[in-house]
Amino acid sequence: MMPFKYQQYLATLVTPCPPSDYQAEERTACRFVFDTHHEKHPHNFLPVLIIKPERKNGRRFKKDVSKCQGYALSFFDSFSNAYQRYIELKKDHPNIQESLGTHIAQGRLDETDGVMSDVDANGHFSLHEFEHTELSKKFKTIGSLK
Amino acid sequence: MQSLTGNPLKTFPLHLRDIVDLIYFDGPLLTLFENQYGDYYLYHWCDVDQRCNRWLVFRVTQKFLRLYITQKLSLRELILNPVDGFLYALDLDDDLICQQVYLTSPNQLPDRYVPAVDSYYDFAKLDKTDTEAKLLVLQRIEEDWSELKQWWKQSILQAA
Repeated sequence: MMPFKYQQYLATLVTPCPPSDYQAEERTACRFVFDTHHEKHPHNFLPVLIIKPERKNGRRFKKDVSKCQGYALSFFDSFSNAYQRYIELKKDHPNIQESLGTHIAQGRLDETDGVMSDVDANGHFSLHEFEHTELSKKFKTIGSLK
Repeated sequence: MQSLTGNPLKTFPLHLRDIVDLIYFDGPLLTLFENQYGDYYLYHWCDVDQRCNRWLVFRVTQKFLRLYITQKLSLRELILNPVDGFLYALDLDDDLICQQVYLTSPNQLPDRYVPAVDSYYDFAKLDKTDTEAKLLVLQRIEEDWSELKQWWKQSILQAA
């Protein structure tokens, strides 16, 4: 199997990371992103613990299994499931676009991009990227968050 | 970041310990804290700029927390009716250092900081990998149930 993009961090974890049930496969994927003019645009395809490594020290990432998740990227299996999650988050946080993203982008993941979790009941799944994966080249904006 | 009306404070006066994230998506959005006396506080994410995330911080009673978790009260109702009558608006940088804090009231909040009428809780709002969080939340409100039951029993005995 190809090395992972954040192998240096994954290797320090006691728990197997990515989890053993993650698999390389082909799948349509949608993700919240910021448009090209937004200051957060460069972070569109970066995991939480790469954007903010200091969060490793907080309660949320205390356990290695959580840290592992912090090096994965969140996706949804369809535009409608991503938009539904956005609507739910917006009920509690009307300003959520400022944190989540301004748009939804869609792309087609394949076996060379990394390994993925199963899709959960809400259409969400996680991806651990392989070393040379460049997701920004595979995804296009398909809708805005209003 | 939205402009905010309220009274600026020199420092954030509370010393709180975080317990569990109640709403999470690629980061905490609503987190339960407590102080040294066991009083609960909620941190509600409401805004962000290049430097800081802004949180509304307000005290909740165990009873109101239980009513929220069990979908009897909405997040909107908690924020618009804080136990103390006021909320803190706390700007925290990436190192969680407080850069600015305001004392504000519900009627001073920008519309974009106030949750929707149907902002009821659902355990699906927890991070699915955080398997312990649900138990922790239930444990906190269960403790309250025990206290309430005890209080009810005593009230009935005294009345008799």
